[in-house]
Amino acid sequence: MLRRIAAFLHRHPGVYTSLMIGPSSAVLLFLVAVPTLIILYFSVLTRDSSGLIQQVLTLENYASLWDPRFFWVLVRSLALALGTTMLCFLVALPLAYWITMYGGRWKNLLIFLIILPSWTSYLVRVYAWVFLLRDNGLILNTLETVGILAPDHQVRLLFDWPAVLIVMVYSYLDFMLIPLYAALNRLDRPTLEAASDLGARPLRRLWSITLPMIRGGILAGSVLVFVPSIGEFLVPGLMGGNKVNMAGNLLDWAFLQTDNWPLGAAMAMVLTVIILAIIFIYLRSVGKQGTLERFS
Amino acid sequence: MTATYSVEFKSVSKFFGDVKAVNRVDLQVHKGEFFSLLGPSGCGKTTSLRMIGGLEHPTEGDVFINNICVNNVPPYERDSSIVFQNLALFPHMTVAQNIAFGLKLKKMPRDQIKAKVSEMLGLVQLSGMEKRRPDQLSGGQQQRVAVARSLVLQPEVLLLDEPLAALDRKLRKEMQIELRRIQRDVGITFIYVTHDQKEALSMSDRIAVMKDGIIVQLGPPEQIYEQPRTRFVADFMGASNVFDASINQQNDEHFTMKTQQGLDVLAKIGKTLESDPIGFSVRPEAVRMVVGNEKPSLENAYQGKVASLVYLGDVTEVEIELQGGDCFVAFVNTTSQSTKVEEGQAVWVAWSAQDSNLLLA
Amino acid sequence: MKFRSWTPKLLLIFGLLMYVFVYMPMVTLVIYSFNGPEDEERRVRFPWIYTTGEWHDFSLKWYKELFDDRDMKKAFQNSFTVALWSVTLSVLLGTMTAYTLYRRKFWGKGLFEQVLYIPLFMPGTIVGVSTLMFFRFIGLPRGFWTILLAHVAFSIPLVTLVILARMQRINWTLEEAAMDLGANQFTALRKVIFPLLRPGIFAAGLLAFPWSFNDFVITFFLHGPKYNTLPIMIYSMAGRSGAVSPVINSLGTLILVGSLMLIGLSFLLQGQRDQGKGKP
Repeated sequence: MLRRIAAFLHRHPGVYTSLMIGPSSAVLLFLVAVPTLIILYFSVLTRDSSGLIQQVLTLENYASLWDPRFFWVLVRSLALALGTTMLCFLVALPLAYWITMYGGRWKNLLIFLIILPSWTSYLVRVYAWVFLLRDNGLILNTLETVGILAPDHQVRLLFDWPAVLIVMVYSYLDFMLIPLYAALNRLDRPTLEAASDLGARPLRRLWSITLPMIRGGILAGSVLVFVPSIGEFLVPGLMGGNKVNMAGNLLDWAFLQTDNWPLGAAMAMVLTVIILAIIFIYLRSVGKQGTLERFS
Repeated sequence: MTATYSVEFKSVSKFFGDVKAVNRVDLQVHKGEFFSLLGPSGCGKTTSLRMIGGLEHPTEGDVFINNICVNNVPPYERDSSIVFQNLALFPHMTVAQNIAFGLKLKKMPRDQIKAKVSEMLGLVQLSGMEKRRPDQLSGGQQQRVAVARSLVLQPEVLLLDEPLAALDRKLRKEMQIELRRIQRDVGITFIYVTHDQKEALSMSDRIAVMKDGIIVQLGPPEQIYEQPRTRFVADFMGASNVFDASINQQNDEHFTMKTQQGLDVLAKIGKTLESDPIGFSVRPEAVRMVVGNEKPSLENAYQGKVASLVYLGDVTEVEIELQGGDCFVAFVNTTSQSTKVEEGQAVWVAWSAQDSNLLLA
Repeated sequence: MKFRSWTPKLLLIFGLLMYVFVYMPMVTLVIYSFNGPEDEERRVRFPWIYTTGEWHDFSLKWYKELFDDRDMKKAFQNSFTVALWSVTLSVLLGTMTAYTLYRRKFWGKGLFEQVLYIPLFMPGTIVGVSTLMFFRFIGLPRGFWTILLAHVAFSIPLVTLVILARMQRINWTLEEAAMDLGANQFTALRKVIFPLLRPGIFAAGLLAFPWSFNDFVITFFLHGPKYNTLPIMIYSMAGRSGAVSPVINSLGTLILVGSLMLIGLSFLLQGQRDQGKGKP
């Protein structure tokens, strides 16, 4: 029996290929592609006064996103994503540079040690930051004990922008670090030495030689940090208290807390379009291999 | 009605998109023959081999093994076996497991497999290596395992795809002799793919020279070497004296060919030609170099000057430029004192009309 | 040059600080999971904070509390079940996908590859709400199945990538050799390719398991009222206020240690010297 199936599939390689790729194609189609269309569908439905969803098509949900409450949430999310991207870059560049140039044979281990924690529970790690940053938390307590802060100080770390940004950088650092490291690793060291030899001072060398040469890595890292952080809701929620609301929190609010699905769908649709546009532009500008750089 | 061939191609073609890797090839390989497919890379020799093994499917035409059309037979049911260029020994199995792989799939009893494996190891002179893994063997030993793994199945035909390409020269020579010995011992048809003309010449019963998906010449090694049919074969077999020429005169026994530089050369017609020759070749061993003023008594004799000397050990390769500008290469025995020459010295170049080999388009 | 002499030192200090930055939260969490409870008086005054950053004494109290918690046990079981099934299915489908992507040409392959990798960096919230809407659309109530299906869909790209990386190191003539020696395509896969691919498959599974076990954001949108996973449990315990119960420290410690072990093992397997190269 099996022998006959094998012979049949040998004669019809197309059938074999379809059987092998079919299941995962179906999964991707139904759980990645189709849901995007369904967001679109829900986003043009009406929600009546009693909160029930009516099959009446409308663009009102998109219109209500112009409401300053929602509009500024979107702008703030993009700003947070941008800020996170820039901070990640500023932190990851010297780190990647140090590991590449001075890591020697420990290079890969050093990188591995940085990304290792991000494979463990994201939630637990974010909670650990709450533990560190809150009012009676380790950091403020230590500063008090050492005497840097007066006992009656008013400094608060948690529930504000600094805490959000710190933990965002902590969460997305390796998405930036790995492409940068890969790009720096591919750098031709003699070229850098030649630049120095020709009289380029270190900062000058960084600006006009090193950075242009790792442009691809910077771009890849920026997209890999920017795109997922647009929708982040755990960090702003926990670190920012209710002060720092982001698009992700709005989705949580619309879908799970108030059950206003059409509005949430419109929001999700806008975000999806922005994200797909970024990915599309990025892929057009660097070709396909850039997407996978972090996995290489 | 007809003789049984080990392998037969009837107008077989294989196209990869627009590329005609193999183009309407007809071929018969006799039983027990050591047959070589010789040609530069991309000539279609490996594709032909893979079609016999069933790893490629012909676009057109029929492939026969043992007079049975195997177009629709998957590789695992074909009576052929391949020794791959990179050997493809299973790295996670021992030598014995590698050799037993095919027998196990045939559901042969255990003790029988064991006996067969040790018999094979004896044949390829690897007794005692059963427990080794492929990466613990030398290149030559891996070679033997690959051959044994295929031969143990007693295929109708063994297909070898440049199996010696990765070995160094000395080991390669040993393995050539070894392969020939094994082939004589087991009497199985071998089809050997190579781009090395010396390898093909030294091992084969017959050689097919391929170019651009077509067999340009097929015959025993001596014929391929001494009477290349086309300019391509002559070049590929390493002949140094190849000339474009047109027919000047013709009678029943001889052609007179005129080279572009105006040299008239006499050539004997050994067999019927299917078209007019477009040139000729002379092997360097057939070219005589004669020192002195007396014209040698061969049909073709011309005066020239020594242009260069390359010492090769047993022979010296002498390049002689004729007055018209044509250059000939002659191999001169290093030991003979009478032929010591210097660059620029005037000498005669001579060869017999029989050694002028006519080339077709 | 004077400039040069202090650049490396500055970089070194910065680099070390980064390692502190990356590991400090985890280390603190682990240490304080063994912290004893504080005195009652303070607990009454600040009921929403159960501990401070101060060290009291070594205690296993929070671990005891954790193991006595029935809901916690249930949530752990759920997480484990989801992760196990999701890994099994995604490893199976991912291996098939990787094999086909690596060995075959098919119509729409380019598009397939692009779509395949999108989930890897799409924000979890978008993924969560879009799959939520899909399940609502087809009428599948939130619970085990919605979580499992989403986890399978988002583990497949991960598994495929890891196995593809391994496939690049296999000598594929071996597959042809096996078929030439009498193995049909299934036997060739089972006897030759699979043994060589095994480290990659294990590595992929060991990565996908903690991913699924720990996933919070996607699961957050898909869990049902009666079906909690461990991360959801943690979140609902601490709530949105950020008041952290020390039980979370001990639970977090266990999760971190378990995940680290699986991940470490996975990378060890991926880095393992391969036997698939044919010739040494």
